Amino acid sequence: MNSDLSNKIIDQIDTKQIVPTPRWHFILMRIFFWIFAILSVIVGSFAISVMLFLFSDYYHHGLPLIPHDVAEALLLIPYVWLIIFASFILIGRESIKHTKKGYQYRLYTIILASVFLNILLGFVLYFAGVGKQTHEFFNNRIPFYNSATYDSRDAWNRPIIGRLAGIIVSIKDNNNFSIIDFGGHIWQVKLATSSAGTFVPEASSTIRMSGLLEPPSNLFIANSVVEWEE
Amino acid sequence: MSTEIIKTDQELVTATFSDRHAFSKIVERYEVPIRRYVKRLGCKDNNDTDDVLQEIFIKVFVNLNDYDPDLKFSSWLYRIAHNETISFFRKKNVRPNVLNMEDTEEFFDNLADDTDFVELARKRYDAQIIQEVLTTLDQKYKEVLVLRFLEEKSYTEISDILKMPEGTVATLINRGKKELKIALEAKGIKIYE
Repeated sequence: MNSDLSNKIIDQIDTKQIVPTPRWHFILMRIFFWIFAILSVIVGSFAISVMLFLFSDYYHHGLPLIPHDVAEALLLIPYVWLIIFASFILIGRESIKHTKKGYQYRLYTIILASVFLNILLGFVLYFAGVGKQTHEFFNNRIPFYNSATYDSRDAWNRPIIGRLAGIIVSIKDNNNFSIIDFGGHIWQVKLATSSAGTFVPEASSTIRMSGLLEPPSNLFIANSVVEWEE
Repeated sequence: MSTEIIKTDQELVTATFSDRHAFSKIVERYEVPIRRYVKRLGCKDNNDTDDVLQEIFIKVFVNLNDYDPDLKFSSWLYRIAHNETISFFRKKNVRPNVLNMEDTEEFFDNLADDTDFVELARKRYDAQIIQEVLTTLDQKYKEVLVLRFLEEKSYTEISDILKMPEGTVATLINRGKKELKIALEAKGIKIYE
């Protein structure tokens, strides 16, 4: 004979026509969480590859190992990508937790494994040039991205601390020419006596210079001029 | 004389898909332990317990396809029971009550088998004080202690029920016992021989 409770439950099932949720629903849910977990690793790896690119690009363009000042050191931290990286580590962790056996792993095990995997794949993507492409894609397509990140072009667009880069737009003579910087401003450039004769300006070439800003004019006295390498 | 073949949980689950009345066997098999567990989690009112039980078994029925046979069926059922009971407390916005008086002795007997709570188990301290002490325990400790020392579940089962790593279960049990000792000693109850 059935108990009161089992009778009530079977009655409820019959009256409300309750049926078990189909298996595909649960399979889909599990696939969904796995997709999220995999996606989080992919996005995290992209973030790592861009961060690697930003650091390497910074030093590749002849910038000093030690930032000019604290402000620049803070600017060098790739906040956008760190936030994306951290967010997707957490998303990945939550997704793994909801997979069939995911709850059996400790929080730090999942996080350490994700970080390790992200760094590994991040290096692979970086060496494949994905970091650079991603950064450029975001720079060209995503509003505010440029102002939220600090790359080598930004670091060389600081005449106030003696760094200037841009494209030569007109040449007066070998020691006097003008450039348009990466921000679109026009600057007059005069080669300092010490560097005169060491550089011959070529129209439309991109250069970077160390020197001194001559306030209040837009004249920049260049102590050294080097061709900009992409 | 009728000879009814006793089916395993898995067989009953499979049978339910073709005949939902087979589900009544699952309900009958687990009604008593799950009712006791819900009460031990702090649901003291009989009407509330009945409502929660119905919700639990309906949820079990609806989610039968989610049951993973790698897991003990009872662990899966206890997991649903735990979640439904906690969500009932949240919905009602009530703080769960502590163990029943009759559970207290069993709780400390099992605890004494596991640890050095021997003195406490032997002396049978005032149940009222013990109730007070248990009230002060954090819910996360109470949950694991109830499963370990009242439901007598293994670490693996507790891990599957509460969906947390076994290491975390062990940590919570140890911390829970420590908290319990401190709270008891603060009430002047010494627990060591």
